[in-house]
Amino acid sequence: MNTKKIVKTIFMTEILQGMALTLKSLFSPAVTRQYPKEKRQPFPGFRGQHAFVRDAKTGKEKCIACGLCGAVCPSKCIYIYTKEDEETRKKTIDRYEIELLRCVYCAFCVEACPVGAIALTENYEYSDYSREALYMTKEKLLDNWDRFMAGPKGDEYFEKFWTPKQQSFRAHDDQAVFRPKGSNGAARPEADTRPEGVK
Amino acid sequence: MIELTINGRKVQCPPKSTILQAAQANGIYIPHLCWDRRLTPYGGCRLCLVEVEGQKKLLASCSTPAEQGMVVQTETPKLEKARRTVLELLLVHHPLDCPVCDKAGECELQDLAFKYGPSQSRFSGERKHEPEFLAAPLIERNTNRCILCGKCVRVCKEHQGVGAINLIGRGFKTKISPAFEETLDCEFCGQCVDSCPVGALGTKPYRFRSRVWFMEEQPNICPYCSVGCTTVLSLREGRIMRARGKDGVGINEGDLCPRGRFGFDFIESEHRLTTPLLRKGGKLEPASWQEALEFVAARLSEVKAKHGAESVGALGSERCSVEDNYMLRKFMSLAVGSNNLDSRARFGYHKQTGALKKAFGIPWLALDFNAPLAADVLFVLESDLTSTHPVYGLKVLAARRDSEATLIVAGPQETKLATWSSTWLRSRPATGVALVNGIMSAMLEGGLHNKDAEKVNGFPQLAEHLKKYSPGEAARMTGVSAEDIRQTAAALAAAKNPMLFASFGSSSNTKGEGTALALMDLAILLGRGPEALGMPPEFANTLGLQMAFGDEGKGLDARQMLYGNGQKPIKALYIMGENPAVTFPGTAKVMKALEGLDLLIVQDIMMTETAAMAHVVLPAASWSEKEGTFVGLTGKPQKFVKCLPETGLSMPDWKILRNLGTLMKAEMGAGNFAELAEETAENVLSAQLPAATPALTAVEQATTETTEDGYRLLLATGNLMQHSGSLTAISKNLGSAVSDAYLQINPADAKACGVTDEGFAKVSGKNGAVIYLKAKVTVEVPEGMVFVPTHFAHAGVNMLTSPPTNGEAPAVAVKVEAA
Repeated sequence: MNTKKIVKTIFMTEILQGMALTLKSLFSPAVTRQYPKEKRQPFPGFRGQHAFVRDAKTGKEKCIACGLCGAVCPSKCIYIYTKEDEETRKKTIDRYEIELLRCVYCAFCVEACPVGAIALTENYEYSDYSREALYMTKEKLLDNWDRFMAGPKGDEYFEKFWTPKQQSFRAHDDQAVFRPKGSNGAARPEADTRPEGVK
Repeated sequence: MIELTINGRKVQCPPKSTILQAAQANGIYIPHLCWDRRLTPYGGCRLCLVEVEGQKKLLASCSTPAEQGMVVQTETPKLEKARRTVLELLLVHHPLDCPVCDKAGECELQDLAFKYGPSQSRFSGERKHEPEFLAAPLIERNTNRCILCGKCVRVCKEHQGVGAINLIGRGFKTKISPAFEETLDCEFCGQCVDSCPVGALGTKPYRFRSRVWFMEEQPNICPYCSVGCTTVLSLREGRIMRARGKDGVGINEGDLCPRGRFGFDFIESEHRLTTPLLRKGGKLEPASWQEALEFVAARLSEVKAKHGAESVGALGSERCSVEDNYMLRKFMSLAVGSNNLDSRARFGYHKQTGALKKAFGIPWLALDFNAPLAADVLFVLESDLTSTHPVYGLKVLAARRDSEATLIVAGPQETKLATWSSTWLRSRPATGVALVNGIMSAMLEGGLHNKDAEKVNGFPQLAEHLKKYSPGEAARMTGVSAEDIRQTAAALAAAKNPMLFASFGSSSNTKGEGTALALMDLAILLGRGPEALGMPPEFANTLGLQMAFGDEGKGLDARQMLYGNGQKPIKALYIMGENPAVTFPGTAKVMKALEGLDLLIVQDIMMTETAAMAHVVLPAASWSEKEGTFVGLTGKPQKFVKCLPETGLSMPDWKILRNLGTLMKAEMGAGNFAELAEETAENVLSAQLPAATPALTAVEQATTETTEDGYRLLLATGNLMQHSGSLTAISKNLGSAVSDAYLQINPADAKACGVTDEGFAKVSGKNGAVIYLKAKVTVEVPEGMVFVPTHFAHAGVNMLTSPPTNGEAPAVAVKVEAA
């Protein structure tokens, strides 16, 4: 035992140092959040509970039932069942289910979606006592959009964070154009055979 | 062998190969879109371009023959640039609707674009805006996605021999379409869909149902005809989404017919049985397995005690596995103690096995599936092989096309083979024996026969007998000219490797045991053995059933059991997977026999007309819901697998029989399927074919029923390419192609009978049965003959027919009137 240690022990310098910190903290603002009473505002682009984007024009989901979200999902928690719409004979979703308990919130589904039909909202408060509640269906997902992303917030989300593929692969303006003989088609013809939303 | 260098590697290939074939045989990949193994090279897509040393230009490897010492490069920067440009140009017009295209994920264009193509095109262009063609059954067409490789057109015409579609229009407006842009009306084999490299052709039952990456693939043996094709099922969560052929997989190597490709949906039919049913107070009521089995055991013992074990009979099924049928035999001998065991094969396959025993002393035929390709003269007698055994029929067609063999088709109907034949002998219906006798007579007349045949037993008698069938006489009986008969005889005699084809199905009533025997005589006269016969069994497991049931003649056969041919009538009948009330000839008699039974037990996968009459109905698991073995035309067992859960409470047939046998205090064994399979392999499938010992038998042409006034048309029954037995009637897919029976009638007869096309016709037989059918006026049938398919229960065609006596075919005379 050297003299330095003896002095430390006798005069309790370490305790006094600790007490000094305590005293300092007593007068600084608190960092603990009183969670249920006091909520934290998530950062923009936060990856919370899923939502189906409601198309402002049609009032329906934007999903074109391509299944790329299910294909890319690393935890295989997206179940998508498709069918032919009897009236329009176009492809529509029959059932769309996300098992939240298995989701890892990587947002690959959002990234893979060609039309920007799925989003991760800022909602993180959805714990529940039953599994059913954590099994998302199309209706629940659309409801999530209305609750958390409706309005300019949704637009901003796709503009800033998750640009849909269709926009990144859009033809550039100085692209050469082929036109068949005899057609006086516009310089940039639009294909109407493409499904709604796919450009 | 030719030796050449590809990518610095020395490789070998047989002569006459192309560079592409040489590369593929050596595991070198060259991209291609318009090339198909089965078709003649087209050279349209320009993706298979390769660099050959000493050649300035890039060569299309699919149509450039490989030469000795060639030095080929398949992946160079120059080639990559060329391929990228080709793809870029293809994608100018191809819509980028991959997200909703069912082909995405297995699309060849998509894969190649991913491999070579830039993600951004330098060009944009006008795309096509045609609507989708969705009116035709089973096959959908989206001409916007088409890249005009022409594979579908060529598969349809060259390989399938149909030619239902072609490229129409010019330039930008070119598209694939049936003639005059009508709605597609073809065989609906779906070969075009499988060959399409993009999503321009698709199957409607699969339309938008699932993405390919969500499905698992499970190859399984097709449950319909005896070819034993492998159909590759795509499964998702216990359901079959689609079935398709995969190049090189199975005996069929990727070819499929409508049944194999679309007929899988019978499994999900609403007519499937889900629970045992017991007749209580005149109605069939759901019951538990215990209740049902105890009832069966008690009643069977009762009948046995009262009338003796020999009053109990059983019918096996040509669709059930070898194991199921073996178990039925075991159940009958151990638990019941009766040998009364038979099946529908009595009216079909037995015509041929009966003849085989007499002619060659062998119990069955083991066919070489590819033998037709090696034959130089192919003779098809009164059989629509491409309908009964579509993929086997393709081999006959291929022999005619590829090796330019002589194809002689005899028969009244204008079948696909008849249209492709070198010679079509349009004989009168049910005169096959006379025709073959005439041919043999002409051969003996000219001394064309193989001289070894003279030593065969029965030759003098046959020669004597054939004097009655001189070509002139045969010509009078069959309606084929004597000159044609002589020429056919000469062609067959001159052939190095002749083959004789006929299919003997229970639904066909124009051929009998005699027809088979006459053909076998002809084979012997040609100096050939059973290897020259192309006679496939009817259903997936007809041959397996024959093996499982073993020796015949021990107990009563189906004729004695159900038609009361002078025997003590049976009192109880156990029917496994069969529907005699519809599919047996002469259903009126069958119904009477079934009604007179003290106990009728029906074990089936669906509610059939026979099941509706039963005292107890036991639900069985269907194909794909159980495992088992089929023995098809090659005589080699093929295992099929279980890939779906059982429907409702249904159980595999063998398990039901085992449980029932155990309940009746019999030692059934078979604790599990593996044990049973082992036992079956040992007892049934190990049987070897004995060596053939030829013998000639004289066969008389059975006199066709006199067609007196009114009853002057001969009714031929048969099956369609799209259907099989009465099972496929519950398949919605196949029903959308052909949903009802019809009457094919010649225009001249139609006029005489006052029947119009698409109008209803009243068909009455001499036995008093009357049925109503929609008429199809067509020259496919000759004057004096009408044709009706037998698949549809409600049409009741078999009310007009009668069971063959002595294996001979009873053609039916009918009266047709406008209804």
